[in-house]
Amino acid sequence: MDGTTPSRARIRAIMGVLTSREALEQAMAEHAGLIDEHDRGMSHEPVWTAFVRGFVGMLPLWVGAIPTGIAYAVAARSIGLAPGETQLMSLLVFSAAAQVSAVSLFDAGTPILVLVGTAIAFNAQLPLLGLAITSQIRMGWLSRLVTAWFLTDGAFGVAAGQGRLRLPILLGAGVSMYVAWNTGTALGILAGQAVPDPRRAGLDLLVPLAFLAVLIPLLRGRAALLAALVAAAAMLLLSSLVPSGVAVLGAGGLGSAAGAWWSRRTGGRP
Amino acid sequence: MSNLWSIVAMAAGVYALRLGGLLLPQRAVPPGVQQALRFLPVALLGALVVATLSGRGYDPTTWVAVAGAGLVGWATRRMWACILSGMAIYWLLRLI
Repeated sequence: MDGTTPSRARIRAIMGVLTSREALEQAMAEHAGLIDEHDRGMSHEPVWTAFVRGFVGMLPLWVGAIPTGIAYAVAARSIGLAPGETQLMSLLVFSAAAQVSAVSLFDAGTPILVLVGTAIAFNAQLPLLGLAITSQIRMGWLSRLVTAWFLTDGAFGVAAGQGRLRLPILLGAGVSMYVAWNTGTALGILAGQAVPDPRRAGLDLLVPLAFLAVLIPLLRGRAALLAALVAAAAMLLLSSLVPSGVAVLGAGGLGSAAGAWWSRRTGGRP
Repeated sequence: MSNLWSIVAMAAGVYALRLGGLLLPQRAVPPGVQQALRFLPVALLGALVVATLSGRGYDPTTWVAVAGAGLVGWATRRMWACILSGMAIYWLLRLI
């Protein structure tokens, strides 16, 4: 900033050199005061206001979260998960991809370890978000425990997009998505009860569509596209050889290795 | 009952990842691993689109609907447009 934008105080300071030392000091103090005030204005924003700013910043993403929540809940009900279990999964797991994949695997009678493995694999990027956050904010134990509950890629993106990363904004965005996801789930449970046989109505098509809907916005750059295509092709080959849960993990591993390889080959560009 | 345990186990696994990043010391994850982890969700989603589609059998109506949804999703970059157009195409084709 300094050097490119000559503020009024700065100009007066320069003029001050020409007139008197007193004027110079006054102008410098004023200049410093201006900076100080600006800084205070940002960091002393009340916690509640910052929380609301995060919550509101997330609202555009509700448009995506609610239909995906509905799709998840309808799919979960169609494979025989009880309404309470369907909602509980949204309240506890709070991960669209992990939940929709769990539903598609529940159907195939997958062992619990594979379910947990896919849920973890889907969220393998989450520790990186945590590392990025603690590199910018100092946090106590309680705030770590609470923040972790609501942490998603979207919340981090919204909070990071609003200037210097602050905990209340991050939490506001996280809680906002939590409300949206669980509202979508509840709506889906209600919708599922209105349709007696979801599978005959073709509503189970919502499962691959929900995956596709989550996938497409993530396909930024060739490396990501390659990762998805390699994984899809590997899945076609593996699905006839090994159980579906194992095939998904194997195809995912091959695809992400392909993406990382391409990204390294092109010098880290996405 | 086993459903309930599965849900709790999944929740514990995902929460551990969320909390883990907030507890790990900086630079605990080497850059090479970070690079590979970045692409894991995209790859898994690609695999699961195929897995859930082939699970429904090779019905041309489904594939046309999904291809249409993919194009709409790509053009609009909206999740709900992708889901709704897919279902709309599917139901329209079944009526014909």
